[in-house]
Amino acid sequence: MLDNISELKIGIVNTGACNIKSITYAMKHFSKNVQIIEKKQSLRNLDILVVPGIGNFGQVMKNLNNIEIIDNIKEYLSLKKYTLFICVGLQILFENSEEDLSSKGLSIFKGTVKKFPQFSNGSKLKIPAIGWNSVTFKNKVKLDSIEKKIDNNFYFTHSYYVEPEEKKIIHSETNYFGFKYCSSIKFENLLATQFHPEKSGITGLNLLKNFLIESLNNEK
Amino acid sequence: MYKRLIARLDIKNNYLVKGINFEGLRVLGLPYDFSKKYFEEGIDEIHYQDVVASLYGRNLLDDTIKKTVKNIFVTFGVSGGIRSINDIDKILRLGADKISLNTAAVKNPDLVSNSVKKFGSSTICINIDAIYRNKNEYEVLIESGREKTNLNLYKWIEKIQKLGAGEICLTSINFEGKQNGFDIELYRHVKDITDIPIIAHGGCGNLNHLLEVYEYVDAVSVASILHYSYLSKFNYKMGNMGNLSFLNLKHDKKKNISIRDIKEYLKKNKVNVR
Repeated sequence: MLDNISELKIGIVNTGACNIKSITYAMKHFSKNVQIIEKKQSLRNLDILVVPGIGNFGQVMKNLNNIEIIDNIKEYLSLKKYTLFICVGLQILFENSEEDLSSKGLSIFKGTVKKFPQFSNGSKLKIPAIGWNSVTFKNKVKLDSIEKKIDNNFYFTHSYYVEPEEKKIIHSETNYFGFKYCSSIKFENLLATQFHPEKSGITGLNLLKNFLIESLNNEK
Repeated sequence: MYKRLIARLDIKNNYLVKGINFEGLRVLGLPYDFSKKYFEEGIDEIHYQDVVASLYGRNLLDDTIKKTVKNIFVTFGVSGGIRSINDIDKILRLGADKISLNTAAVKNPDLVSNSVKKFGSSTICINIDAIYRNKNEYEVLIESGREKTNLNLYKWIEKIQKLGAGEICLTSINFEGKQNGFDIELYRHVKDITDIPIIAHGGCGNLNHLLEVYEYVDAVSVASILHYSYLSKFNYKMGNMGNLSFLNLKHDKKKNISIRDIKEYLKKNKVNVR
């Protein structure tokens, strides 16, 4: 059964000014049905939708608007199928961002995206936060599948973080030099991470693989 | 937040090479073989520097980048010969996560602010090659260390931060390639005048050198110490890879320190690494 993840139809939305190669190769590692979504099209047939994103909140929203894919994404989400949003992908699920007050997000969840404070515990925070940090999941999360011995460290690169109004969707927290923030959310079959699983070594590949396996198990 | 260990691969004509003091070059092997191995062994980040790009005025790593990104799932940076927004765009599209500017940033500081605006600050790193002049004064060199600028290092660092770059990779030319340790005084001073992450590069010869410099920087970029250790893992056929005379010799640099050895040593000595 586990081998069947290679049959999963995975669509990755090209959100513009960002590197989608890594997430594409990561997914191709597991599935032979990976496609890039670059123009308006129905997403209903996909098993997994991935919305990555590096860069600027406003820019990513603008790019999604330009390729007229937002209605399709919303339709896909309404079907409650398996979805993964990464980095700015996570941020655009909310209403708005301090990064670009003139842009509106997808508003799937209530809440805003805020810039890291300048100081934490009296010392100056380095912004952007670039590098590996540990992720504390609220519930037990299976992180092994490729290698047994695994840590919970993931790769981050961001200046903004999400503040969901509904605390129950918070899936994990991360501590950036004393400043605690929400580093991923989970709601039904939607997982959205501030960190980059596709840049988080074996741990990240494990998380992706387990997400794919979970989607298979649920469909049975 | 963990401190990062970055593997830096200097590349010439698609071969991994190692330079000494920005001069003589030795061919070591194929960069994607090394980077795949480093990924599997737990490296935090990989960086390719096209060491001849600056000469030709453009980055020539397209095929090497493409082959590399298929197998590594950690951050991948590229530098060398990047002169314009279009150059950056092209390299990111090939699959790199970030790029570093050096000569182009000095000659055209607007490129830094414009690229930060377009690609985000964490995508834009500034590489600096600095040479010691006198009394804690350093001069910034460009064109792979071949050209003077009369630019004071500390003033340049101040400006880079104003332009919005995400991080700085700082090489002390006097220490690079000698494996005698890092320019600790330099990094100590730079720590006090920067708010963005600093990567130290140049001079790593043993584990103790790493321990010393991690006190002042967020990441360290290493080359020889890794390349010489992993060289024996690959069975390169000699004779078809350009100037390989060095490989055919029994070199004495082989120390066999694995990435895991480095991480374990640092952890044992209370450096917060992954």
